[in-house]
Amino acid sequence: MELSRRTFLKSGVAAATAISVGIPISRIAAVAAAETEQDWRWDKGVCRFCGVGCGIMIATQDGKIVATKGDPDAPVNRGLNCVKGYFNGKILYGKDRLTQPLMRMTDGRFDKKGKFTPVTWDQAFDEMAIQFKKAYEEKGPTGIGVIGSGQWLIQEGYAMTKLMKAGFRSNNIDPNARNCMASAVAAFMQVFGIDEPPGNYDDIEYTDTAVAWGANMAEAHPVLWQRVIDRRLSHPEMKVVNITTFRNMTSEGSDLEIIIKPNTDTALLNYLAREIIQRDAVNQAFVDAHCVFCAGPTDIGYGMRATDKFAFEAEKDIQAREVEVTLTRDEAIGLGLDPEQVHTIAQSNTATAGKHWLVGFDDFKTGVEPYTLDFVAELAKGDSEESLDAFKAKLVRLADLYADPKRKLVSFWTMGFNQHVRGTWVNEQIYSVHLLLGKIAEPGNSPFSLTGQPSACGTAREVGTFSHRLPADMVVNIPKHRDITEQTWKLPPKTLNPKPGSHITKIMRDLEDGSISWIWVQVNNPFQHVANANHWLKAAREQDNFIVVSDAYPSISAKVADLILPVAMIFEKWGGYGNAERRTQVWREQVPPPGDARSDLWQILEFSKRLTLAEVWKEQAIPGLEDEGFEEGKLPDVMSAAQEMGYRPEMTLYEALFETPENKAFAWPDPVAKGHDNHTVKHLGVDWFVEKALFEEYAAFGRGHHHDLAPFDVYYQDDVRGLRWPVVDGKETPWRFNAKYDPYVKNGEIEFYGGAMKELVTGNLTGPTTQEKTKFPGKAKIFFRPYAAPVESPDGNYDLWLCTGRLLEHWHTGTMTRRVPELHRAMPAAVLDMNEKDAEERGLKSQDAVWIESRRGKIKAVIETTGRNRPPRGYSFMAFFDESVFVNKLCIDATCPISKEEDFKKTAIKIYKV
Amino acid sequence: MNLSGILVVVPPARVEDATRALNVLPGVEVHHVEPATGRIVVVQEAETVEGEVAALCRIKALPGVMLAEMVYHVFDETPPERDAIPAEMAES
Amino acid sequence: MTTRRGFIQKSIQGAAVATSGGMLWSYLVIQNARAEPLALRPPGALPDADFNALCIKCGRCAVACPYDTLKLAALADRAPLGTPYFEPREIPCYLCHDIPCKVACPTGALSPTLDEVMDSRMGLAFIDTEHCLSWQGLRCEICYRVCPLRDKAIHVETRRRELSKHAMLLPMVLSEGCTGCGICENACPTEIAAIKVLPAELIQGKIGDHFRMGWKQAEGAMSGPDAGETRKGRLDSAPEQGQVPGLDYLNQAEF
Repeated sequence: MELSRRTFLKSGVAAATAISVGIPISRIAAVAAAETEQDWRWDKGVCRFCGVGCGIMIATQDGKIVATKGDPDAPVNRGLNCVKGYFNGKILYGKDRLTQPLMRMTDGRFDKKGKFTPVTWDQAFDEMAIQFKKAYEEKGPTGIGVIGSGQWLIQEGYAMTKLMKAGFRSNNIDPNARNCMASAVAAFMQVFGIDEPPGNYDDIEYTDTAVAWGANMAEAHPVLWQRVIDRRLSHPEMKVVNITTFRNMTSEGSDLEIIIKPNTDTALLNYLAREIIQRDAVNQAFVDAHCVFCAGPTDIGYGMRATDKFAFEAEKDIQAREVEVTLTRDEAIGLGLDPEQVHTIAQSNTATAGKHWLVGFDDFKTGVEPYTLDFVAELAKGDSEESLDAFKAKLVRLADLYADPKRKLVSFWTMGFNQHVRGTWVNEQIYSVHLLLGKIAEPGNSPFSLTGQPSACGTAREVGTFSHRLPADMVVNIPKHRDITEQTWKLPPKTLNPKPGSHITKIMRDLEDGSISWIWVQVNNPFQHVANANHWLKAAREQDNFIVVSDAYPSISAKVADLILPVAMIFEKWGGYGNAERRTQVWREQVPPPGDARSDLWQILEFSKRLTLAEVWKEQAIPGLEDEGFEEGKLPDVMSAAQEMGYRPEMTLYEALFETPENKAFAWPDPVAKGHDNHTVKHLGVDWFVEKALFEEYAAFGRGHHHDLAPFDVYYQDDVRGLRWPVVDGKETPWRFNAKYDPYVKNGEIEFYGGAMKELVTGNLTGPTTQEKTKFPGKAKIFFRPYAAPVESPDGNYDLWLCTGRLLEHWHTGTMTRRVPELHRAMPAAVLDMNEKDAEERGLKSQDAVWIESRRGKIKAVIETTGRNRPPRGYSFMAFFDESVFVNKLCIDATCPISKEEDFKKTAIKIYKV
Repeated sequence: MNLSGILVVVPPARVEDATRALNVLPGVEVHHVEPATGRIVVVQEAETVEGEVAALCRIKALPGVMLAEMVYHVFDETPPERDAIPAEMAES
Repeated sequence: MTTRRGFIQKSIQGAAVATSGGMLWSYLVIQNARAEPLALRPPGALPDADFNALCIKCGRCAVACPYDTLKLAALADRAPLGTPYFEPREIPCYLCHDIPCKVACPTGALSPTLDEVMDSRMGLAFIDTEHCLSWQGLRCEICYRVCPLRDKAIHVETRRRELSKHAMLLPMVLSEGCTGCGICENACPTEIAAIKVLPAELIQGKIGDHFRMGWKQAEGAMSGPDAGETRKGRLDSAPEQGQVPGLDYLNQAEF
């Protein structure tokens, strides 16, 4: 558009005149509307972003959030926030907020190739149900899928789990927490038999040492990092160590920085274990009383497809390693094999990667024996410009800190461990080190797995929104767990599907190979965050499938969808989150959702009205189902048993699963609301308190089973700022497994009472040698896990490492934080941090635009050699928040074969000037 | 063409009257009014410099005007066929 | 279409005619004079007097700037008419390696001897600690992370908050390294930037030359006075010829 030059000049003249005489332009137009804080309503809430779980206070007026503040009474943050938290109130008000359902249509009808057109909720659900039934009738429960989130509210995750598992009898539900916490979960289950950390954040104030392993806490857990630094400033003994693959902000607050090569953390932890034994620092009494030793298979692959049918040509060489791999020299040494020989290994345990067996202490000692200082230092040194001697001295210093019996020590880790082709192993290894020393389950001694998301613990893990889980740490493939769940949910026996479903990466692969043709995405942006995105974008747009995305903003995933459902965001609904220290925190609805936006919970419940029991509780085909008590490949018809229980075939899933007599007993309005509204209830048109009923129904799973939550109303009391479960007799549990703090400890001072996988066969490092199982209740496992090389490493062609991750300013894929103008201005685009000399070598300078190419795709970005992260030679880092620099097009979709979590930290790339 | 930015100051009580009077003067556009301080920003368009001076005198002569000063001035000689600017400049 | 260069030059001509028109500019001149020292100049700009003498207001630096950072002052702006300046909250100087503005300058008003853009001194950042989020204890430090000379121009110090078990991470400007590019001011997330860039002479203090911080400057210890230092740091206590300070007072009769 062109304006008349004269009009332009005139407005310029007027503005210049006004400014020069001190009339600010804004004031000319400003309406004097001084709003006084007296009319504001303050109420408690929780920060929308990371797993730290800072409490905030929210002020509202006339249906709008007018202010927020860090909650001074919240023990986590005591009134502080990071700069994202500071903008909590603004994320609701982005200019491009979605407020009505949008469907791809041509000439008034759904068309996969059509343009997004506004539709009514009825039209949206009608088409969604038609498409659902098409996929479900044709392919059965495995032909549909749900991708959820560690940012789902507790009730949302619970309702969707129940709808999928009890209603649709499908286990194809998985949260993005899979790509965040799954390795931590797998290790918790394997080591302790129960999920989530023994300790809590207060450990920081009791400890003498904090070691961050693959965790840039200074940026990713900003407020918690303040507590670490405060301890360092106030306690002279306190030492902070940063173990990382590149220099980052956490290094600046550390006494010791150890730069290692990718994946060598496994070797480094074995070095520590070996040192502990060599120095006679094993806490023998503790180990004898509370631990057993374990080993597992090593030929477990890398979680990739076993076929190259779908691979791009360039991917095929790496993909072949899923079938067979030749060990590197270092791997051979680490396995105690002759490094001079070639060892080609068939990956025969890809499907049974998690199995393990008991071994003796001597086996463990033999396993770690090759991990000498010389071997590990040579292997692990990540900065080629550092001398080997200096690096060795650092490793010895690290061993000194761990092995000192008088020194209390907390190990923190996040995505460097979890997003790792051996993520479960490396999680287990850090427990091994702590267990050998007995530095666990007491104030200041704690292996602490930090979470990334605000309710990765509270929803994804505790509710069990994974493809293999049920609430309260139960799993679908254990008959007793299904029985308990069927009884609690009042389902006919054998309603639940015993075969674990597709994890998040597999849901994407299923879309690609056509085995899933209907998915629903909530509170999540998987088409941006799942690695190897080019495959999934193509599958979504070019295959015959139907993709529903519930979102607040036009994300990549919304753009990929066939139907977009606008959602109510965080404070526009009632809900609760659980943070990394087992603290469950809740809030009331503060403001109404805009336009036709509706809560995810409302969407789940409304959609459940579109299906009847007769359509889902009939006989269903489940390819590959072989569980005892089931006909092969089939789930039985349970309708007749259901009728005996009082169900009718024409009943909707809403009536059968949600609007139960028990749930309807929770009346709305409720005094706990204190005048706050509830639009989920309002739009459902019911008189029962949906969120409270579902919370209490869910809490019944955990009460009396190590996961006790307090009553719903207790969390809403003015003086409560979240409670750390188990909450027994009104008291929270700060440290678990320790009789002083944990009422579940019945035997002795320390008891690892988690019940899963506490009966195993015995063997040696290479495999089981007996059939007979031994029980070891109350004990934790010390695993030997060898060093394993990354599946893909830089070579002559793709010659640089690429690691992705998060920044302080932006949350995940930026769908919310990029709508806050201030945050967008502060960090508008993702850049590639790389070493200055690597840039020079390629004829590049800081701020040059480059092509970045991997075997999977190619993107354009700007490089920075003086960025916040300072990679050593051969290494680079880029954040994933920026959809215009789509880094997940480059990343490999290899996963930890046990946890199925993707390794976003190790892709080989090459770069060249645009 | 001459464009001048003129600051006019009147007693706050007379802002409305003055604005109305300014608006009817030839070539004058009122751009901003600050009622609280009685400050008015107008843009005056005239063909020649003499025309501008005359126009400023007319403004000064309006009832209630305490001050009228030229603050900003642009002399533009763009031929009419180039009376268009790129859109990206117009946004600034 | 008018080119950007054409448009800029046209504006200057218009303004120049106005100046020579002999109108009543007194009000404006006062405004202009008051605002002048606040202007941030392009990289390599000579000290004010020299710069003003050499700058011919040709606008070539502004045309050369790839980010549209540089503007040419109009009459009411904070710099003398037609001279280049920038406002970092709008667009900061992105410190191009090849310094195109300096290269374009035909008169040397932007010093041709500036080779390394990081050596330029356009201004100095300062932090309004009362309104800085980090100084209130929040985790922000955006200025620090966006700074192209991180740890040389801005660093972070940790301090106990005392109110809780959280430390504060406080960004601080190091004047020796700051180029005054204003990327920090541009990125600051507060409603009005809590870190701003101004010409260094407006905000930078100076400790008297007579005092040395013993814990910082070892050369002050017991080694005898350094000639150069004492010349500058001489105390003004020696009486001038023929005058005995205090004598009048001492000789007064009344007590």
